[in-house]
Amino acid sequence: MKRHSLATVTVLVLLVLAASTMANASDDISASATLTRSEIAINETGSIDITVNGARSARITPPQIDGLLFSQGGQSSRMQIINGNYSSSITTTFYIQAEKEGSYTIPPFIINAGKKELTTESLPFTVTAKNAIKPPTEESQDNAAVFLTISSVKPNIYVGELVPLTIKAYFKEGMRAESIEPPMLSGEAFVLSPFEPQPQQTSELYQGRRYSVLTWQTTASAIKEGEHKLMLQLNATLLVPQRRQRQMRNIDPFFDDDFFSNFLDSYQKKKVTLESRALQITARSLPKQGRPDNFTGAIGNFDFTVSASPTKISVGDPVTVTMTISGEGNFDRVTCPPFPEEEGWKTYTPTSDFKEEGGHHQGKKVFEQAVVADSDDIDHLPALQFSFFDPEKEAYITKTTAPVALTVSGSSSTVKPPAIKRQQVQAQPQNQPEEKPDATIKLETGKFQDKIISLYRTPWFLAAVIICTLILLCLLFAVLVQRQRNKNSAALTLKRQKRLLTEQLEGLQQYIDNNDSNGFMENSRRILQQAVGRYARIEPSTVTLADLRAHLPAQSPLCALFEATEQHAFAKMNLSTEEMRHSYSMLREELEKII
Amino acid sequence: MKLRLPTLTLLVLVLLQTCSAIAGNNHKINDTFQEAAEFFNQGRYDTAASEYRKIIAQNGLSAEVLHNLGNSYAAAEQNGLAILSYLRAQRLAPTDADISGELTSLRKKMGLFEEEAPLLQTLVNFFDMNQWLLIALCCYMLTTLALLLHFFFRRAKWLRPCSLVTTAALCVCLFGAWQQYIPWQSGVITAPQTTLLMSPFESAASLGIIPEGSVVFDVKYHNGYHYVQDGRGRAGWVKGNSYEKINTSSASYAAENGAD
Repeated sequence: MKRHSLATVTVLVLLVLAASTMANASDDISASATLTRSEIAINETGSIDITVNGARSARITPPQIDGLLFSQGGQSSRMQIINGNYSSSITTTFYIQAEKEGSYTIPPFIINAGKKELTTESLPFTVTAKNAIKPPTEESQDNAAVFLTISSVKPNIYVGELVPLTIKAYFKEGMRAESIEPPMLSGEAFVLSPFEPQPQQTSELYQGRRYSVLTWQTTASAIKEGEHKLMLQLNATLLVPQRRQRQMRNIDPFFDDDFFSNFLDSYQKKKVTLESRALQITARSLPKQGRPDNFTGAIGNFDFTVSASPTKISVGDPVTVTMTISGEGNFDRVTCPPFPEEEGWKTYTPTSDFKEEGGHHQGKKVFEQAVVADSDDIDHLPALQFSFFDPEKEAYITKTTAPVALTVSGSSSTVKPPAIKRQQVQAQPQNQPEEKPDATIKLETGKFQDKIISLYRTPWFLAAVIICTLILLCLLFAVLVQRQRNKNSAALTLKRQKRLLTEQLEGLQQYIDNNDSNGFMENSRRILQQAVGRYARIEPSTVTLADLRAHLPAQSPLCALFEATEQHAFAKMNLSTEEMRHSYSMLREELEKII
Repeated sequence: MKLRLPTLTLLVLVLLQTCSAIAGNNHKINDTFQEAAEFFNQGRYDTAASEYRKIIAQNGLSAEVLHNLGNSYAAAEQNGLAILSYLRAQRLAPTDADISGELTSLRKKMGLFEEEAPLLQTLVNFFDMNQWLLIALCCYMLTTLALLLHFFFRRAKWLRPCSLVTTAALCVCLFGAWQQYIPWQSGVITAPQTTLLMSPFESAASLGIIPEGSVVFDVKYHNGYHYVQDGRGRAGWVKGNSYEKINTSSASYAAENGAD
């Protein structure tokens, strides 16, 4: 009894203490608001958590603000008793949807908890354009999860000059990307060289955060003079983790670790367009003063060398002149240096080959040109010149090679006349070369036609196709008609067979009426033979018991009947009317099944 | 009967006149053709080319005349026009070994080597579009015939697999023709040192030089410029007078001669 009273008193004391603690706690109520993100895109949803401390229930009224919509999400509550101190809090989540972009200040939420009315603080909130991630500023870049940077070494360039560019896309480590397209230029003042198919992938520490970095090395060139902004865009599809923060709010923070996030989070696909900051580049046109005649637009720093092989030749033998232009610059505008128009040389169209050495704008371009010496007076290959514009020196530079010594042998009888250029042929048709081209000449004019025409446009081709198609259509029609006829004839045969069977069975009925078991058995046998003969496509008179067993299902009562009719043929049996009726109905039923 | 005799006489006379006119015209063409060949042999290649162009303008296109025209251009070092003429001749006589030989030799001389194509493309390139279509037509006719015979002679069981084989061959040929459709619409860069431009105007930035004699595909036309793409995928604008389509008519030669 004593024990019971002691326990009861303890419980009562505890309850009183708890009630007094709770009563004290209810006097200390506070409210706060926390934005999970202070900036969202117009097509995204943000959220704000309203936490009321010291209350077990609260009525929260969201504010009215033009352009933002609030809708209530989930609610969680928390109670703690530590060293006798009781505390409780309620957290209510409101989702924010934006109707238009802009900067907002979220007004205070009004909270009614118990008899108290509380308000939260005002919060700044930004809504950006759809899916666009703005080019990061120095400050925002420090916090951005993804951003694009572009760096160039030259703010002042010439039109056509190639400028090396390094483009880097930063993705916060752990962020997953489903697809990343190569960067694109925004603007029309520049052109980019083609990218390598795969960018270089590295990991970099930036402002204390680790990023996965994709790097593209390329070159750009200006196509208009003036001050231009060089800006790049990159389209990517990111897999953004949808963290289960709300469900885990009251769970041990141990589970809020990134390791568990990878397992517990789900991902949402998000298409983003990253924009780099604009680089201000001034493009100038090339100076007209001092421009050499053989300048073709090459800008950079080049070396020019020439070699010839073989150097000991006979008149009429070809010499391969190899011209190598190496260095750094816009190789697409480097053309074969022209061979001097000197008498005694016949030249052929050169071939070119470019070998990259460290990038699109670095390497060497090798031209090979076949030339033929037409005279043994020649003792050297003439000097060749190549001109380019050096942007560092801001001057045109012409590189001239030294003449290559040649030994040309040959008698005067084998000397061919000098090659005459096309323009000279037109001006002086009398001075044509005697050299005959190695070509066959057709001696008959052949068949003439007005134009080169595609075969499918010729009338005979079209006529042939149409005729064949018509024949095929007719065939198809004929096949369909034939099939229909066959179907009809099968239906007619069935109908005829049914009628025949009905007539035969009516005949059989008469034998039953007359109580003529001989006639009944003989006719039953005949009907069976005819029906099975039609069914099995064999001559009815030759149908035997073995045929019935072969073509009818096992245990068919028709087999037993046929066996009885065969036995009756040898040893006459007298059947009662009842037996005949039974056999008749079975026969009718089974034969209808067969048909 | 009395009326019929003068009518018949008149008809015979008209027929004779027509025949003699045709014969006379043929004689004239042959004379011009021989004359052009003579110019070529004398080394007067431009004059020979001009004569061949006249023949085409007056009488139409012929593989033989185009071949000789190509030879004249090649000898006069107008290599782009030479390749164009050979390609036109090849369209009219795809199996002519002389034309193929001259074309290959000139391309080799100019350093215009075709990149090695994958096996499927090599097989497709075995015939041009018209040849594929001709074979396809034959297959179509054979299929029709096989099905027709099979309809009337049901017992000839071999006709059914026959029609299946010809149908399969028809599909292969149609695929080949489809693959060769775009090359059939191609053209040739006829001017030396033609610059590929970014935009269709004179001062536009250059995208590089496209060699004379290159086969390119015409994508669009604007303001006297063609937007073309070469076999390696390079695309840009070229001046209208630097490019000519392979498919042509005698009327365009007549217009050219008129302009000359």
